[in-house]
Amino acid sequence: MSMAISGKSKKDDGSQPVVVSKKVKSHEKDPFFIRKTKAAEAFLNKHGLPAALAK
Amino acid sequence: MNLPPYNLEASAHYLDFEFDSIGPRGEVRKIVRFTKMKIADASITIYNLGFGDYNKVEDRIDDLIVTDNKDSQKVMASVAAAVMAFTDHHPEVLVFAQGSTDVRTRYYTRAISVNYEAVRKAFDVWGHTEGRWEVFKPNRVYSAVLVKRK
Repeated sequence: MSMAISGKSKKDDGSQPVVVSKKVKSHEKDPFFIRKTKAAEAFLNKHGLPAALAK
Repeated sequence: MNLPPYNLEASAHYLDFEFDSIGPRGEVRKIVRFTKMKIADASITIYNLGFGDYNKVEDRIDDLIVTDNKDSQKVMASVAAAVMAFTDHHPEVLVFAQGSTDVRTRYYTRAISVNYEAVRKAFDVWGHTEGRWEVFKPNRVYSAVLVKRK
């Protein structure tokens, strides 16, 4: 498995794989993402951060 | 071989991304969402990477569906492209990622492992294993990962 990763968000042909679109709505209040974020918060609050980041 | 991602559409603040997985099962709308987290250490800004399929029939997002559209590498490349675009615009933040199941988390960490030489040029990466965080090591099993742009 290999995927394109570079310092810039561009395809090999130079085109942008990401375009801003008004059709993309915010999922901020979607129950699915709220539930996932709460689970992630619980994980980090339980396990903390890498030592290099913790203050 | 660098597998190109699908074309992605993003919201104005680069917090929501969408793309279509195309394969034997047709077109499946995929959604990637970066959500700011509330954690005990308020001095650090962390966003959770959420990822799932949009279910048109039920108008909801699901991350337990096995799409089986025979394009998993291209899908992972597209999620990686979303992370790149998000951190292009929010370079100071951390991104937390954990799969909906252990199998999916292993799949994500494997994708990082396989591409680690490229990933580490752009990101600092940590993996969580056996109750603690460590600098990401390819081919280790992690329960979650954190990344930050260099």
